[in-house]
Amino acid sequence: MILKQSLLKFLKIGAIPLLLTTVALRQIALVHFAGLSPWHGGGFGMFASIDRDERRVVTTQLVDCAQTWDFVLPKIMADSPGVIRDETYTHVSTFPTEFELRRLGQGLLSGETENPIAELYGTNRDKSCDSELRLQSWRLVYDGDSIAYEPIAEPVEVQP
Amino acid sequence: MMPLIKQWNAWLTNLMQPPIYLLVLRLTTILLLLHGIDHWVWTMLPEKVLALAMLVYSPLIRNRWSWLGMSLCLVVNNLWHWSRLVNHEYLYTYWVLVCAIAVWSRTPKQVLRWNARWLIGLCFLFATLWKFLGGEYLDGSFLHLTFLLDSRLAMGAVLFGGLDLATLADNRQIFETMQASAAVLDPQQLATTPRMAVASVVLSYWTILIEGLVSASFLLPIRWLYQKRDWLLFLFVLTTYTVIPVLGFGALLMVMGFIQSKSNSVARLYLGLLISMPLWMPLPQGLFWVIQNIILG
Repeated sequence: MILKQSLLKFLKIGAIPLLLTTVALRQIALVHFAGLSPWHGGGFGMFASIDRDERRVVTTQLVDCAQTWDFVLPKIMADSPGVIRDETYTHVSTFPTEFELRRLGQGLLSGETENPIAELYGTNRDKSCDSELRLQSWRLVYDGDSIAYEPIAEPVEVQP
Repeated sequence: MMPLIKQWNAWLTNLMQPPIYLLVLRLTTILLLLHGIDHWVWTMLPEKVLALAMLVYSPLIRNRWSWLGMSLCLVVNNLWHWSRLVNHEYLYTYWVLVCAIAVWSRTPKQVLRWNARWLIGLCFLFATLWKFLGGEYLDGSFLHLTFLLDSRLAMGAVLFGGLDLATLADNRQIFETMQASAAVLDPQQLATTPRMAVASVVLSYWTILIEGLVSASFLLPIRWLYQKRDWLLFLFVLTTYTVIPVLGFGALLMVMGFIQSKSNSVARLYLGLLISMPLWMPLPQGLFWVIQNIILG
């Protein structure tokens, strides 16, 4: 009976503030250790950091035997709809963990959808040239004069 | 003018007829129906349908199962889109959970009042904490860049920083080109003024001060500060959202402020600000647009 009353009292006065605190602390940890954008994840970091997901960039390079090819993902998304869903790109930009970048890279190389990265990878493979896809996420910084990008983490190298 | 104010106050007082918690549930349901329609996703459909049903068929407003269902809809949406949602969307989920607990309890008003105070205090505590964690607030660089790139803050950049709209458009173009080409290794200079840099630092510290004070006044047991909490929240809402209109967040803060307030006249002020929000919040931006585009050509 006492336990039930204590639980009910906790539910009424403590549960939701505790939930907010737990989610906010988790968000702070994910921002500092896993590259989450401070604007998202329920930590109330909006309007506190330049590092907003919409301003991030995920660079994509195909490195083959002879040279490095740069691709711009938003351009690929515009030219070849269906290659990457908007939600997927937004999620990867917001939370660019190694797992998410690798999954995105494998999707681009898989050839299940027509896209210039998969085409070039296929052409290289036909020429017996092994190539790999390198993905890296970058955040915007500002020093009071110029804007620049700095990497959020080391590049992730992907092969199918 | 005075008869109009009297009529307005009488109308608000009439709305505040007990039980007051029912009004809070109704206002919350209206916000649930309207919020997020500017970034619609299909997973929101059940909560919108339920909110509409609760407004059309009023017994559902105090129905325990409808609030449990609403909580389920918001929690699922929150878990599904967790990395995409912004602060106030999380706050909506917490508040709906509070509403659900309140309607299941014997003391709904007290449950709403207690949790509203803590949720406001905690969200301002973490917002203040983030201003220190990021470091970009303390040197003013966050607000400086936001004034230069965010079109919603063009009014502030012109008024506080002495910049003109053409320069701001050029800055945005520079950034958009840099981002679209993924030219991450080529820094780009933005046009600004020394006044903009100074104003950004001053406004940054003002924000830290007001957010910190709101948080302290709602959370700390310091009598004189606690008694000022409503006025500090009004000051924050009026000084922030007239520059950066965030209707969803402002409206929810007013609903939570309304129920936790112990004075009838202050509660009426919360309700008045909430109802008139679509008018006063975009007003400064609207006037600015008229001056820039019509009067100055």
